[in-house]
Amino acid sequence: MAEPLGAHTPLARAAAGLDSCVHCGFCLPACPTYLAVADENASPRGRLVLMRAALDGEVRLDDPDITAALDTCLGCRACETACPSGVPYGQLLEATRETQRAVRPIPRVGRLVLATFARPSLLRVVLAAARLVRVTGVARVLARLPGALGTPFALLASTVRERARPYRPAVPAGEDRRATVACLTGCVMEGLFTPVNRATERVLMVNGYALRRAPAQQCCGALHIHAGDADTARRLARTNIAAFEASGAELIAVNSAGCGAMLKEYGHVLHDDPAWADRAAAFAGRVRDVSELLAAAGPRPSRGETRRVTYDAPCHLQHAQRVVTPPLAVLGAIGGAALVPLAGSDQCCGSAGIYNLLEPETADAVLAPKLDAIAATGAEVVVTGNPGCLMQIGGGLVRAGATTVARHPIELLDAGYAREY
Amino acid sequence: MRVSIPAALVAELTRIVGPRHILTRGPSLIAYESDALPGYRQRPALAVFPGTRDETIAVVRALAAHGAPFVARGAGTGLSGGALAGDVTLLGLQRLKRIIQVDVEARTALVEPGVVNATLTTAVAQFGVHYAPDPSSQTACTIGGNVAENAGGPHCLKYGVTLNHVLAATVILPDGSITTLHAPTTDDAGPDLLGAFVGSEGCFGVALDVTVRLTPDPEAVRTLLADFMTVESAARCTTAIIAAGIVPAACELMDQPTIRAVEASIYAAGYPQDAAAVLLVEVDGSAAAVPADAAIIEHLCREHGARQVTVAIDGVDRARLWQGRKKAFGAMGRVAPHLVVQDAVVPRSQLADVLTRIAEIGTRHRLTVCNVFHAGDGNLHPNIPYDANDPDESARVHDAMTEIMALCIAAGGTISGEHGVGLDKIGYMESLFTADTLDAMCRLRGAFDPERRANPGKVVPIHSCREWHGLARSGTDALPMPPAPVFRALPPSDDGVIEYIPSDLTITVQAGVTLAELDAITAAYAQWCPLLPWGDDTVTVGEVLRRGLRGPANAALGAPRDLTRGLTRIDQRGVTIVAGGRVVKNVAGFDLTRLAIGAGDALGTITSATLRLRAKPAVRAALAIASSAADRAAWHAFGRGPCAPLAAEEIPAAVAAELGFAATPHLVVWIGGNEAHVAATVAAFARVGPAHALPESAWRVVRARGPFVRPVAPASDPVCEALRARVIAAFAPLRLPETHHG
Repeated sequence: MAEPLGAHTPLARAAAGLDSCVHCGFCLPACPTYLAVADENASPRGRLVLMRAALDGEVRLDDPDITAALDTCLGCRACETACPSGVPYGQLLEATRETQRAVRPIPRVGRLVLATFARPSLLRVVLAAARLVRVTGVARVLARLPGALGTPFALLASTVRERARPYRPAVPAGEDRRATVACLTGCVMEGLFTPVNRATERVLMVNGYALRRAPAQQCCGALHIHAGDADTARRLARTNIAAFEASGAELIAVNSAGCGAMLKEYGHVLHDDPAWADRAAAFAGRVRDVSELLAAAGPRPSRGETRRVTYDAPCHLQHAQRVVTPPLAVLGAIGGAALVPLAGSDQCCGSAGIYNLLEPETADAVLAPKLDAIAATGAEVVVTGNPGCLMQIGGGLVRAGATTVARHPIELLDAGYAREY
Repeated sequence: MRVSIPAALVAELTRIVGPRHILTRGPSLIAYESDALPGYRQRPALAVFPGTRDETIAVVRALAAHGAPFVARGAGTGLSGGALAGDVTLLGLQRLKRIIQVDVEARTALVEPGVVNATLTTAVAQFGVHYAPDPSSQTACTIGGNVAENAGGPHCLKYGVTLNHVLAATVILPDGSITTLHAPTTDDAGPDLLGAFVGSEGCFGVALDVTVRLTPDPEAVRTLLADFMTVESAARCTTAIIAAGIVPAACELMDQPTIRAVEASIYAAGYPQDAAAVLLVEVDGSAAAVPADAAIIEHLCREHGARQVTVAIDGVDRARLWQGRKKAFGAMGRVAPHLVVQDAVVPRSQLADVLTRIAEIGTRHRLTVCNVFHAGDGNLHPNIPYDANDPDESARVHDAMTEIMALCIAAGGTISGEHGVGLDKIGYMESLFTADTLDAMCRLRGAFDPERRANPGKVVPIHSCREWHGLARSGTDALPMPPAPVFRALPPSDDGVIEYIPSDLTITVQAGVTLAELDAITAAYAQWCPLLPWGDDTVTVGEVLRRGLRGPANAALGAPRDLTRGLTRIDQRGVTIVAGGRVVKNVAGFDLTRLAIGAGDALGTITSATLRLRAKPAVRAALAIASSAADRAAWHAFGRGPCAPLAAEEIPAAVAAELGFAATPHLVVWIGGNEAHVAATVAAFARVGPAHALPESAWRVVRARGPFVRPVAPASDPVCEALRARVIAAFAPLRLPETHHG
């Protein structure tokens, strides 16, 4: 028997969320790890029960069974969409992981990754090295290494892009001009998906948005808060709020679902920081996924290639942000794209930030049905708006030797516009 | 008391399922302490999760070899504490999730017990069929759990409960022997063991696979939402709809506290928040029949004071209206930290009175009672959100719930329509059943599980079993029930009718009443009990049930086991057993009703029965066509389409001649429904070939001459025969101890 957790711990402060769980079990079939493992310890309801047990002192937060149950959670939040009681599962998970940090350090691989993302200069070096490995073609070869060894190389190999045809859209003005926006460039997006970021800027301009720059921005902190390093997450949040305030933009555009979900939660992240709570809430209210901005603008139709396309919803767009139809509106604007429904498109692919590096076995188990479903569509392109998902699915396709590729929806729209300019 | 599991058993189970699929450490078992009724917590001694049928068999046999008790569990969505395995082995079946076979032609599916209910429906949707029982937890609950609980759901009003959709189950008995139990397909099939197994709450064994019936998707569906300014008017409207001869696919009532909880959740369905109650009514069927029924329902709603009646215009709208209803329990999680979910059934005619009294009970105990329930079949779910950390409030909740249950029993109802007894309702069993009936349930359980190792301590209080009598009464004493209000009793009559309340679609009659007499009585209210066996209507109700007599309309209208709600019999020992009840849905205790149907005299003599009535189709007709002239493919399509007849037979030449046709085989169909439906059916049948209309009396001739094809009984096996013998022996005459002479 352990001691009940102190009232000051993050989990104790979030305990009201636990009370809203009525134990109905509707979350079970929504949970990718439960579907893969079929053990309630790997289900949202089971994890909530364990959080409660830890809070009440029935079990220690560093008990190996408890850490295993919590570590395997992808944080995809599909359970929140399935939950009729509105249990704030994502917040409870973050609070639990933060509380766990007092008794158990973050695993070494995780610490290394988080430290890198929190330091812009170090991150630039690491991403440059990654690009070097990619350009030599070594990544594609090493992706064939068995099991977890090949995983990082497969992820990297999936980010290779053909050179896009750049074009220069007119700067929107007059009646055509919509809001001013500043783009979150993001760490992985700017480092490994540079062409997608440039495409995002062009596509926004084509649809009437005027761009502003926010050069002082840093990592959004999502990886940190998911791993329980809330202090670093809060520091990054403050930096970004200030950076985007300085940009003068009315809205913040994000093309990475995971980062967007984090930015939209800055209000909650800083809610008990009196100096920042209001600024954070106001900031969060101005964040938009790029698909939301485009859907609001129409978006302007483009003439793309005739291709079979299927859409996989990133969890942090579908479940965390509840942005469901705008990406479909974007795809609908791409002439020539024949959209084929993907079975289980609302299910996680197993990427989940750095989960696929920390829990490669479960990540693969979660990815397997996704790859099967993609193959069943016969699509040439699977579209998803999040770098983690692009790499997890793309890497899986690379390793499976599939001809299907994973692309960001913006890439397809941009390619269509490029033909007109 | 902590029962330790022998190390040798743990080692053997580990060897069978592998170390990743067995949990023995305390912290890893916390997640399995509760089902969906978290007021009860019991930690299993260990949990084991077989991944295949063979592993499951090996696990059950290992448990048998060690004499170890166990509790089977699916998704843990039960609402009676039934899947709790305090200090014993929890047998998790959620890894057995293969849909083994779908037979599109026969409209059946063979599935493993861990298949999720909604997953099955999704998987077969491409064939235009679905699995009809739809408990609100259908997105999560498993078929195995549904079978154990005889699960219901909103659409059971028209389509029946799990029992009516399970055709066979291969089960492993607690002693490790395996047999396949079949739904009866012939007369005199013997005790209905499958009927007893379905709803046995995991006490009779573990299903290894289940063959379920798949139901064709209706051609048309209309969903109506009506809002009322009083709960009573909504309840009375429900009664009026049923009395009008319409059986909606579903008829659900939600009161104001429920509406507000739903509207505050992400499943907000646009229910008007100022209404005292909303009624969600769905009608389905052929495209011809549905609009007429929907119009009548809309009219009745307005007549009963509905402020607004909206009709879902498309699938999306319909799904939204339903979503709010199906997630209502969860949505109540927003109202207070804890929720007590109740499940009782009252005769539909008593709904309005019972609801008024429930509101009074709530007010008296200063509690908010949220009512969300299956109004069409009188299945109430009064739920009370409360804070379990407040001892005073918890005590008031307990008192209020006890009063509500007493109220429902007094109104002629039962303590569980679909959630089961489990742990939660065990204290009410003695208020509902006589000591002899409870003892009979113990005997039935003993036939399946003589050592009582499967789900021990559930469903029937242990001291109700005679051989346990005299043991200390521990923890399961009958709850003290408050004095109940008196409901009006109908005067007895001398025509063999014990009770007939037309608006409940229920009649209780003496076994000696003939079908013709029964039909004469119910026809006055445009109702019938469509037992309709081969032969004629001079046969008595008792005989039909005793022999389980089958007839040509069984598939469309139900077989004897589907149309019987309860019966009283005197067994071979001279003990009177009162099984089942008067209400549509009843899962309180083990099913002694199904058991006796078709059992002949082996289980005693049926003295009276409570039968389910249906609205007699307003228009009926018979049609015939020469077999040679029929387009066989069109005939087949007609029989399976939205205008499927009440019965269809291919009659031999001699019978055709008797009916005045050329002496060649003919196809004869019997159709019924509202005027529009019958007209559409006649038109559809005309596509089969040149058809003749017949007087309805022709159908009597067909019934009298049939059956034309002898049904084949499914093959039995020695395990099944031995089980049957044990069941019969359990109710056999008491034998005096033999005296030895010389």
